[in-house]
Amino acid sequence: MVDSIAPRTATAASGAATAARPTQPGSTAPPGSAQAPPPRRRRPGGTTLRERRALRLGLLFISPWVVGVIAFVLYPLAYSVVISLTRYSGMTTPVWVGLDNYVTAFRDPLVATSVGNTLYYVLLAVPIGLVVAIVLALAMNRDVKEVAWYRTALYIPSLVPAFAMSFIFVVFVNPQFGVFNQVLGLFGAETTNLLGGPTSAKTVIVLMAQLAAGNAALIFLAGLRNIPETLYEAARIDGAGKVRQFFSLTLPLLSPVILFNLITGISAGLQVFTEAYVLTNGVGGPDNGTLFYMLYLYKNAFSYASLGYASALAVLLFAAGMALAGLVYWLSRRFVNYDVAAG
Amino acid sequence: MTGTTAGMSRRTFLAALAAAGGAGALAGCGGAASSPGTIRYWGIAGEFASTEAQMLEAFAQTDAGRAVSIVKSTVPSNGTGDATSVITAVRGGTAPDVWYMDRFSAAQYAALGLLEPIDDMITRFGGDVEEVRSRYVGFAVDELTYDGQLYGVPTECDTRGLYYNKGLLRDNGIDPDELDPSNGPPTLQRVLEISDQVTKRNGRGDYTQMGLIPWDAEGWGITWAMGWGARFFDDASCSLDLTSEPVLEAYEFLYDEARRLDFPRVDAFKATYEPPNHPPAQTSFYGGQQGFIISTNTYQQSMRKYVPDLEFGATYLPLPEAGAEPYTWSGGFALVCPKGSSLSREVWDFMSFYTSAQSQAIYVPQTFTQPTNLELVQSRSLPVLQQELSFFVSQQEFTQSRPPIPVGQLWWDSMSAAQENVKLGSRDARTALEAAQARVAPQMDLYCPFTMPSGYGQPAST
Amino acid sequence: MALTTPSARPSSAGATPPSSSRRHRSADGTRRSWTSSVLARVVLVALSLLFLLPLYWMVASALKSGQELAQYPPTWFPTDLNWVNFRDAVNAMPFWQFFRNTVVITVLATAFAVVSNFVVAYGFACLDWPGRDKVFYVVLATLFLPFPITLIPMFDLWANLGAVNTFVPLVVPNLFASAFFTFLLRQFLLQVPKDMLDAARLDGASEWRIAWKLVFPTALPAVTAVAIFAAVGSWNDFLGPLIYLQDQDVQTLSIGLQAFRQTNQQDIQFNQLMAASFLVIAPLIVLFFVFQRYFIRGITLGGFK
Repeated sequence: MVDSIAPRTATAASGAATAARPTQPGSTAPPGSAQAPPPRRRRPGGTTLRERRALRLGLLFISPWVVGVIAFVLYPLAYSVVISLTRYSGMTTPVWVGLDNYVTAFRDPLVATSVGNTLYYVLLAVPIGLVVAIVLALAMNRDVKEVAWYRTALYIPSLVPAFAMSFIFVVFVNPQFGVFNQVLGLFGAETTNLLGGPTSAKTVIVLMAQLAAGNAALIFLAGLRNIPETLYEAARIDGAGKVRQFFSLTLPLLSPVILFNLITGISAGLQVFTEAYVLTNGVGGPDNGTLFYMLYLYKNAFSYASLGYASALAVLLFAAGMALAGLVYWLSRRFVNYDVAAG
Repeated sequence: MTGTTAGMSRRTFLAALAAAGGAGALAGCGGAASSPGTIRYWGIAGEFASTEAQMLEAFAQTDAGRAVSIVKSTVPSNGTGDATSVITAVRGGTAPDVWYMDRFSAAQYAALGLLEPIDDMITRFGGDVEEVRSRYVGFAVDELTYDGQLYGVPTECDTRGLYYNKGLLRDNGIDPDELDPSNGPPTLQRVLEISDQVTKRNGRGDYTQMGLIPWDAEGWGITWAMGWGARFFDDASCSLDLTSEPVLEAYEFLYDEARRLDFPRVDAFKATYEPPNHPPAQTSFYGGQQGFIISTNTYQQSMRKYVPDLEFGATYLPLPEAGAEPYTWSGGFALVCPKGSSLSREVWDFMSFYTSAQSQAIYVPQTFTQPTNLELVQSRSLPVLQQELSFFVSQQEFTQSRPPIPVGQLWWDSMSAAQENVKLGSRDARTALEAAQARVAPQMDLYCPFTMPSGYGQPAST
Repeated sequence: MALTTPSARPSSAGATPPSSSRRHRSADGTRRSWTSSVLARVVLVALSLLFLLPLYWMVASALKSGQELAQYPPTWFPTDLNWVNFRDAVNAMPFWQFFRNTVVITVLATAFAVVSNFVVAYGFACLDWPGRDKVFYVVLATLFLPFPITLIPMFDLWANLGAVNTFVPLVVPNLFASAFFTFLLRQFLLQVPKDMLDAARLDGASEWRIAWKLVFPTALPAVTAVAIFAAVGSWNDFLGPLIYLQDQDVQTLSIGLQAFRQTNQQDIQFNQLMAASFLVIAPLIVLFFVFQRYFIRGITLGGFK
């Protein structure tokens, strides 16, 4: 789709637009290759040397992450895997229990409840979050003089600490004068406490999370700013309407950012914690309706001092998340387009 | 070219690392070791931090306190029953010498090895543990006792009672004097009758005024279960019995009331006038929409602050059957010593003073809590003990603490979850309590053999 | 130099962000008609008001007296303005000391995060090396490590290094890149045209120089996003300071907010909490307003010299 519009850019757009496009392949390479340093050589024998150099350079650049992943991921992960095989309070000597904690996890009805709650949250929050964030980003991207004010207004809820937000949010969900209930009331809904039902409370938390959609929106905004204006000019000259421009130009070119927000959205959704913790005082009510997996894990670790069990739950979550990320990452190869130049 | 690039990057990385080191140096001093004569104390946050400051000041005036410097931080807390910061601090050797803590968790934290028993410290500095125990009300000491050892000293306590809005009752043709505690405890039946009499709905069927909402505020399932005479733990078999007849009856009562009153409507009523996470001032009892509420004596402190003109009374919790024994329960805070505390003479002097009659005489009138120091309880030598708190203190004669078991938090959460079940009607009382039993009992088994502090649950001998 | 492509706009590499009202064009380049501009503004203002509601409620509650908070229904406009709540809120904690601590932590953490994540993302996006994408999958996987299980081992580590009650545990980890930020920047850096990088390499520029002089400016919107997230995250971080900063002289504003929650009762000093919350986020609002300008069009390249 992108390609169907972009090539015509070159032919149809003005000379300035053509020049604005990033360097064409081959236009500068031939003269440069004469004086190219070793890495550019493609002799079969040089490949390994070149690769080794590339590898060394790559590793050098990612070395801060390598150090970090060892210290802040592998070390705690290994620690957790070991602890997950024990009964451990955090203070007394761990008692080896083998795979007992994992067996318990599969039989624990509250694990089932919390997995159900979490999946409900992910399935609702991730798609809604993407749509709301794109809408906000489009709003933040309007080319009007006072856009700075809109951007700030839309981002402000993301700046409020969750602890304070949990006290403010009730103004939205009050049965009598709350914003949501007034809207629902227009459709003849009965006066209900949205936070009082296990399902509606989850939904409320999804909605509360949308107040912080400004974060994902900023990433989309950065993505929108990354799309060369010349492409739109070309599309317009081609007679593409706004809707068509959005679907055949904007969305495909946002795909790397969509992938990012999708994966991090899944990650955040599987680990949803803070909103439920502050809104229900760490209980996860009503009727365990907002007992998300992470909340249950946390309570096991720090309220019941069952660190071994909590670690087993963590290892399971990590494994599931990794598999899911792998799946999305693999699928993404088909639809993500990194080539903004679309040449 | 790659070579130069690499060299350049490497230098920059080294510079970055050096910067990190610099940041470390910049962050500066730390370390937990207390110098002699210094006590690291995690104390009260919030409005009563200033009250506590007056107590620390009073301590500094005493002979024992003159040489002691107390470095206070407020308790780093994530919320109730969350020991994250203490667990990490104890492990890291940075725990304070003294920690102001909700007593309810004491048995659990003692069982985990998070707290030091203080018996040795007391005897080392010439005290007598039995004498120390006898300074305080028994039910509070019970909560600080685990495996026969003492784990702290109680700083204050409360009891639960039934508050009623006199004006609201009068407006609905009920003479509030009927409920005066001098008439003895009301029956549950009578309270529900009054309750129905004051209840009002609007045209849409929404409640606009209610009487008693049994599960509201301190109307926990376990509060009612105590009314039916529940004992949650059996010493002989070292087992929890959460499905015993009294517990079952109490939860069945809640289940039936939730159906009779139509729970979603009641919930909408509460959420309207007293939304979740409401500002503390905005409650349906303060607002005059709710005739009764079960709460503790400290409720009066916030009433005085937010609704000074509200005319209210307080009496015993309603009895399931006429002629039954009155009941209530008590919680409160304590000073304890986390593992790694210096357990020095200064620490003991401080704990001892903090819970003395002199110090509690500063704390009690400002907070509307009850004293735990028997000297003060028995003499009632503060005006507030003879007036506002008089009825609530009188309940100390028959109150008890929640069972001080090593799985306290899990027990509490499970009983609350069962209460949610019956409230919303997602499970009947028996199934809900069986689930709670199934969750807590296996964890409790890990700590057996275990017995409750001797005399637990028996009337105080004051 | 060949790779210096004439830009459609005069700005050079984002050093001076272009004003947004440059021409009568909307973001997608169509000429604005009067009606669509009004309509757009109506929608924007409505959306903004909805998102400003929490802030309004915060300020309104902050100005109410305790007794007005008890009124039903809650008043939308405070009947009298109790500015004293702001003073009390500041006095309830060592506000300026907490403020200073928070600023130091936030500035260091943000600077470290931007530098380290940019460098690492460059390694994953702009350099070609064998196994790169497989290693990158490990980065993604680490997004799923649940935080509660890292609390204890990490605390043990820092405690053994004697770093409790210092800013080190809150600042230094930012030197080592994070999965979230690396992933974010990588998504943008992958869009930098290869030919441009190759051309620069042909000119003999070092990777380090290409990264900072050529690529960094083009990625400015994404870098700005990272800086904003890092700053806000660090400023509002609660769990980290809760665990690592036990002594009052090193604590931060997010810990200070807890001063309005009673240790021993359910009560919360709501108006003061709201006043303090506003004071805590006000600097962030101002900073955001200033830095949002850097969401400029990044890909159109400026000069490289």
